Amino acid sequence: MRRILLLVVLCTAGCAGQFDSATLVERLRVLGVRAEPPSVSLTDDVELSALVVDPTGGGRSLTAAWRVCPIDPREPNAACEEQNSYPVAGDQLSLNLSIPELVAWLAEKGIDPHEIPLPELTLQIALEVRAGEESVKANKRLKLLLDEEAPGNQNPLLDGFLIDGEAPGAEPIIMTAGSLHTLKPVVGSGSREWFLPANEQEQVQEEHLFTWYSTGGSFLDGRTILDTDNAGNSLDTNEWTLPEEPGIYTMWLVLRDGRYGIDWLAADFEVLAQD
Amino acid sequence: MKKGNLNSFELIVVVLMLGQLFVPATSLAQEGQSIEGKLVHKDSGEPVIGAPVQLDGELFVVSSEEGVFHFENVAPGWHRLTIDDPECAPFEVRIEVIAGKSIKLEYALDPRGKDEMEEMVIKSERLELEVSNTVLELDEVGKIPGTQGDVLKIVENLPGVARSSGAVGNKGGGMGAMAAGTGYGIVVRGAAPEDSRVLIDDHEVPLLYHFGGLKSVLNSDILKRIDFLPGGFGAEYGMATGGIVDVRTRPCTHKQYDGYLELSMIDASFMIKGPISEDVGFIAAARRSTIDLWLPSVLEGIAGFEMTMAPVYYDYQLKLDWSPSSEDRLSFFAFGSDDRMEFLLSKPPSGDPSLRGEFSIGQFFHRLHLGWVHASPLDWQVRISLVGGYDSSNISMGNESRYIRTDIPHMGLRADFEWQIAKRWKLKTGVHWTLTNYDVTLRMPQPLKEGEVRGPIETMELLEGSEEALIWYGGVYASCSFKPTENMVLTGGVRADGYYGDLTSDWAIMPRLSYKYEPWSGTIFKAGVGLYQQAPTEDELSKTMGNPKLIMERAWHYSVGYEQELPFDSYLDFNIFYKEMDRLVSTDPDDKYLNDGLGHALGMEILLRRDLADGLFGWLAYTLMRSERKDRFSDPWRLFDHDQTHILTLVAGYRLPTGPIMPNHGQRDGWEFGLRFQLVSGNPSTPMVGSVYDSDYDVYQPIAGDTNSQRLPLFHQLDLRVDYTWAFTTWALTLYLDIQNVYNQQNVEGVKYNYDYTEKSYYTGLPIIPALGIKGSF
Repeated sequence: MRRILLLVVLCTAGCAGQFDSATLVERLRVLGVRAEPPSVSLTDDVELSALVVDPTGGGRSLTAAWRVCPIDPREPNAACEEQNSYPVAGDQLSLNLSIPELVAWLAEKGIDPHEIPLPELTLQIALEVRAGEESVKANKRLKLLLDEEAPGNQNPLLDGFLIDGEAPGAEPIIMTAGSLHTLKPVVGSGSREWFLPANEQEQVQEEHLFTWYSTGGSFLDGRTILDTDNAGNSLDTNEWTLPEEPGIYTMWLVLRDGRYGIDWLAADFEVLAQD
Repeated sequence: MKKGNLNSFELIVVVLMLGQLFVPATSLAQEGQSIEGKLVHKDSGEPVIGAPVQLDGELFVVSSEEGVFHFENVAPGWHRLTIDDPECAPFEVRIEVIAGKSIKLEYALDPRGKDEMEEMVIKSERLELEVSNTVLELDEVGKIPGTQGDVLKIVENLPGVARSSGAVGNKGGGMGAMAAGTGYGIVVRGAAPEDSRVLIDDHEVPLLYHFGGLKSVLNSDILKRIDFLPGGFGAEYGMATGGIVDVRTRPCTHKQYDGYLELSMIDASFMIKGPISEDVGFIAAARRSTIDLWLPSVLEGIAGFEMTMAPVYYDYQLKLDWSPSSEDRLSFFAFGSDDRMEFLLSKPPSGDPSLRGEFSIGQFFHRLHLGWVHASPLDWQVRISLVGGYDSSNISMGNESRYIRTDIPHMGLRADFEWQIAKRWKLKTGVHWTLTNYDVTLRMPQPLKEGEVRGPIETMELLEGSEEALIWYGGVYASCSFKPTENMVLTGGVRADGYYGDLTSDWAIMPRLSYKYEPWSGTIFKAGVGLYQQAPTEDELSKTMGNPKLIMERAWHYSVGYEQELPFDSYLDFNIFYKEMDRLVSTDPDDKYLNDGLGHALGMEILLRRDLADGLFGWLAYTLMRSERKDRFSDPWRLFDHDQTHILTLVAGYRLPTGPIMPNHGQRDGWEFGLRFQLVSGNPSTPMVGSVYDSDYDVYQPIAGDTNSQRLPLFHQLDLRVDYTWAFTTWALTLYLDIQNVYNQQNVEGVKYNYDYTEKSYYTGLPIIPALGIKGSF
């Protein structure tokens, strides 16, 4: 009796959410890190950028420290330690990473990508963002294409979103406090690529996952996917109940392709009191 | 009949022979060779009049109005004494008559209706038992509150056993581990659950409880005796570095039909037993859970959770015994268990958003035992059993994104030989062999080991594939008990165990020694030391999930103890134990697992117990313990996951009969009250001291602090039970109420964190749960 009920109670307790939902942004957070492109040849550069939000910071300045680490396949989730990492020059939230310089550093550390007999090498990019006394950390993975013939990935394209089936007008989008609205992402054509997974014979299409955040209100789901259920219903839509308190709120929508590709958008909403 | 299978009356005789005072009796040497006995009713103390008493199946006398019987001119040697009174349970005992001496005995007989094996008196053969052994008297412990009448769960209330709380919180990874952890084991003297073995009639079962603790997989009414051996056990037990729960089923030697039907909020069950012919008897029982009838409505309305198939379990047992002669018994025993549950999670836990969708847990096993016991009048006994079985489990999570399916057909043979070589020498020897075919298909992260914590399951590397492996397990043992004097037993034994399979093999020799000394009646000093080794689990030896090159885990057990009989039918059992463990399986980034783990456990156990007398029984069990581990030699010592410094359990039962015993079924009108109180230190916990956002998976990877450096709050809980029985002429009706957590204590069972590990709160245990049941027996 005890353990089965415990299992159920614990499960449901975990779901019921004593804590605020991860979709509610109330403090300094990183919502996404992007490498453009997400997989890169040894001769190109990468543009790194981060979606960092600080809704209660009052516009304070943010500084970023970027590092790159080789990933130990035995411990793929190990932290990227400062002493064993390649420091990326600059403290901006968006900057350029020179892959040839990174490759030279790796070679000095005994990991010469040119000598590795694999189609690709995955590296970890570590970001630490500071805002006054606060700091947050984030990681993302970057693929180095060691085989020139290896097909690379492209970041997905998030073109916009629909509110109740219609494209929003100019920002801030004006809505009524406490009202419920259906949100649907709009993905760029060709965004969802076909690719050949490792050790597979047939190509499959990327799975696009949407993550929803806002500074107020609540979403029906924190995540939606670009797919349909057995009845043909779209699974990418979400429902957002706007906050009761009038004011300016921000909504962020992040799209991931499951292969370290990412895109995002943000929109401001002015929530007005009910008549 | 094997010594360990003595019924209560035989034990009383043993007591008499040892000069003990637990049951009023005496054993006096007299001139000549005669046997004089007196029979009394156990409940009332009144003489049993006109009871037929037979010696060696030939000489026949009837007890007098004083309950006295005599046999004169009895030849020296061993004799079989049988009493078959229609109002009392049948009784049989072997007695040794020494040349020139007579025996005077007094027997206290049970009322008819109780199985002759049922009333096992814990104190009677203490000198003959293992150094650390608790025997459960099934009749008295069956109504302890909080156990739903499940005697196997009583083991959890004995000294040395940690309170089980399931795998919760970040320990073992929430849902995944909870699902994977369904089912097995108890934590004994600081050993991991998989280090202890549960044996049913000499053979291991894969699962002790339905759904990891709901109820045991065997109907309590088919059990005869449970020996709980927390450590320092003899050479006849192998492949365990923790403890042993040795369960014996009833022999089907009934002279009348009886049984019951029972319905409660937990399950519905029936049992029937009786004779098929003069030499053949049977027991049949089956059970189905009833939780699924009410649980979905209780859980209805919880956001994000839908119970698509409420927990359902079944179990069944069918046993046939044939006694072709007074020295032989053949048995056929089929039993099995099946657990299933499914649910839909649309709102995942905050830190693990990928845990959503359909989840299912299914697990079953079936067993077929064939056994033969031959008890020679020349003081030896052989016991041979053949077992075949099929175990299967199927666990899937998140719409089959993670799953593990195992199918394990197996067969085994065990033979034990026991010989009373001379008055002071006794030999035990035996072999066992098991062949297991382990077939697994999985898409699942590597299971976490003790002491480990994990982050979101989505970011864990998946092990994927299927594998089939054939593994042989074998063992041989011999032990010899020597009694240099009547009040001293020295037992030495040696055991060899091994396993062999594709890419994997190991074997070990293990010496064991124990000593018991009774300087004066009612006081026993005891000590034991031994080496214990066990094979890694199948998944640890797996090519896909583990490392086939692993060798056997090892533990040295040391214990000293003291037993003291006390007034009011009570006694004290005090033990100090120490365990030194090495070669424990621990995770390794290169080889998945290595035998690099080390451990030790030091503790003290006190059991103050009163046996059933004047309607009152109970015990107070206290354990003071510290168990530590390290995963490799260079690591610092840390607390074991289930380390509980203080474990205090109070169990009490009181019977208040208001009517006479009904001869047809042995029950009487009246009340029974039960109480259980537990006060236990909280389990260790590893704090999360920070996190890093993983942008590719939209989850936070926790940063763990020192392993098990914190402890959850103290646990305490009171359970109560009340039964009332109406005993009619041909049947009896019992109504009971079992209330768990009477004062609704919100006990902490684990820690949960918010999505980025900046906030935490506690999982709490079950609230007050009253369970009503009804049972009709005949």
